[in-house]
Amino acid sequence: MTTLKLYDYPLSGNCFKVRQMLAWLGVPYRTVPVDFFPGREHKSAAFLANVNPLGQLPVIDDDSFVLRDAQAILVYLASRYDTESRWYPADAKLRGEVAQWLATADEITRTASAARLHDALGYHHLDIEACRSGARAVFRVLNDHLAERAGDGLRWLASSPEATIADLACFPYVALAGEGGISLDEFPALRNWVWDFRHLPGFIGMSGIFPAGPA
Amino acid sequence: MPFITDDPNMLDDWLVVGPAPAPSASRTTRLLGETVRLSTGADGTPSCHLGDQPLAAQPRYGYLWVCPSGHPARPLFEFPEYAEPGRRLVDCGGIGVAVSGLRVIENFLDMAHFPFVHADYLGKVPHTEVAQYQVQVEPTTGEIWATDCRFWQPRASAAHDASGSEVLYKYRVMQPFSAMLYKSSFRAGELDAIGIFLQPVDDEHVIAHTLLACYDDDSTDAELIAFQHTIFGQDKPILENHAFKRMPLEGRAETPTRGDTSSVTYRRWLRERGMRFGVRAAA
Amino acid sequence: MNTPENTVRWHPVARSADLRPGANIVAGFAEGQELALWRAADGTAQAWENRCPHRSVRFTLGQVIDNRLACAYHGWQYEAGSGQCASIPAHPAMQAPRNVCAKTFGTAEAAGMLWVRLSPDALPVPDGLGNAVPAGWHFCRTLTVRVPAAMVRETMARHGLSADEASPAWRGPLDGVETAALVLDAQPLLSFIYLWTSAAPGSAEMKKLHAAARQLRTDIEARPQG
Repeated sequence: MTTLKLYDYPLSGNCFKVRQMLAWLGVPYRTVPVDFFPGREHKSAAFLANVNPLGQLPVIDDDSFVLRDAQAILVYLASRYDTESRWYPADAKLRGEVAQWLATADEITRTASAARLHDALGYHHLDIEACRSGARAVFRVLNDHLAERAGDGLRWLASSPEATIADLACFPYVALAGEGGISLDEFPALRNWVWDFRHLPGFIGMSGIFPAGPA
Repeated sequence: MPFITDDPNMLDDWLVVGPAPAPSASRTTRLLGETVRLSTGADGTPSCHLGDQPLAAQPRYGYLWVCPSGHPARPLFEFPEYAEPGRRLVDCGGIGVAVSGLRVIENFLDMAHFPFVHADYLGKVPHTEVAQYQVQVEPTTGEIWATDCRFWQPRASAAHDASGSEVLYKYRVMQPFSAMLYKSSFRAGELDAIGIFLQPVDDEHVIAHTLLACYDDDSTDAELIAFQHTIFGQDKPILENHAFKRMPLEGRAETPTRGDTSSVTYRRWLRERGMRFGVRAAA
Repeated sequence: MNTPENTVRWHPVARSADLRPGANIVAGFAEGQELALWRAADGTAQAWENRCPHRSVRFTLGQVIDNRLACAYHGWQYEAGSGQCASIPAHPAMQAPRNVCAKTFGTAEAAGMLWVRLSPDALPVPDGLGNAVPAGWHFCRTLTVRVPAAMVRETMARHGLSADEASPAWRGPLDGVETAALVLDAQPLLSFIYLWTSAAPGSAEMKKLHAAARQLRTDIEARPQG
């Protein structure tokens, strides 16, 4: 019996993070579709009262354990279901690095995801220029980080030889940046990282980010 | 002079501006380079203003339609399925796309991209062949119809399971920026209708309003919308990554092939109307 | 390096090692021209106009299949080398039309870099390209700056780097670390600087150079424009 429920919307990058983690961990789940747009169901009284008082997606309900926030959900799923501890390694320094990049993922959401909501879903109350310049600033930090470590054979955000939840958390809104009017032309290391991430075995993609195509 | 274009194809036609606001509410939106205000009176009558100037407006099919010049060259198209009893009518919202609306309509008419852009949903390699279909311009309405279209699909709608079947399609272009597709419904013998109505923000930006008029007694609105958004979201990066956003109607920059009959007819139809808005100037 | 107007420029558009055979497609830029850079399975480097001739969708969304580039939109496939369309999946039995061809540009690989010229003429590769980076040097990083290439060169001169007559590289120390910098005029307000150095990867010198590179970027972007 599938006991894990995911409150989900297909175009949400934050929801994609959880869908992808569940796929990589081989954890079965049931989708509860939420009419994020145009219905704004995540802001409805029922959703605020019963699912998430912050009115945000994704939310999981794992056999009555309810958790909101994409990054928190990744930590939980990796801790509970990743028998190899590769997605959220236990080493103290690596764990610190991962936490650092999970926080950066919030900045990416605040800027690049907001720009996309403005351009694609008509969120006109947002200051689009502030979102775009904020995104470029955090992308430059990511790009520098990746560019300066490539020579040492480090391909991922944390100093692990394998991708971790740090990469998964930062990935979708970087890959979707164009939909918010943010070009990745000036971030070659970031573009390489996006390509590498998309080509990880078992990558499922989402609308707007193609999985690596069939040969 | 208001509005970003003087193309009569836009100024003298009915253009969608999205759903009318609720009674006693108002909102602004963008149309042909201008900001317009939509309002609905307490009595339920919707209106659209450019500054102080009221624009000719009519509510149809759950949306408000505006004729910028006030001199419409033709009435708004008919949509008989909208009023048919038993159909679910679902407005899937207006999604912004950064490309000329002409490219959005052309993409909507195209099947050859199904196995690539909508892999595992509307098509799957190696079922890539596009069988010949018929395209004509209806003499009385001037609308384009593509009939006898069929394509193998692994999962054709929210209601279908993933086992795969040949799906029948018909396409219709009512205006340069409005089209409809009709596809085999879950209910045997019926066709579901999906309308795409593009609100022209400027030559290189539209808001794409999608309306479903379908037979489906089981799926929730959220499930129907999720499926439409999944499909549209897959098209979005393709649409926003044309090396030139405006559609060329002349010259040899782009080469069609046999399966592009709808698009060849659509481009010729636009050329014959003297379409300039959203069109790439000849080199 | 100032080149006379009538000399065709070779643009350093990517590091050779960044293009893996039969694998990735990298977006490239040269004087505002968008490029799709990739390497066929047989190892030959390709620099194509980033636009499928069918409906103008960027090739960089597509994928490399063996010695062909497949467009993401309708899966049309084009041969490495000629750019000739070889397959249209909508009509599997049909021969692809001869007149459908991706626009290709001339390439050269030298000094660990992929160079592209935007001219259709067949011109010899200048010897200087091979001398651009001393043998045995290591790649530091690609720096991108939001200014025209001329401003990059101006600032590098101010930092004590000097253009080499015999090669396209700017040479000199950055914070005491020996550097060869190749400048790419990517777009009107975007330049790439490929930094190579004698310092070893992972060394203290390399770390110093990374910090100096970021400082160089700050200095370049601080200069008033126009």
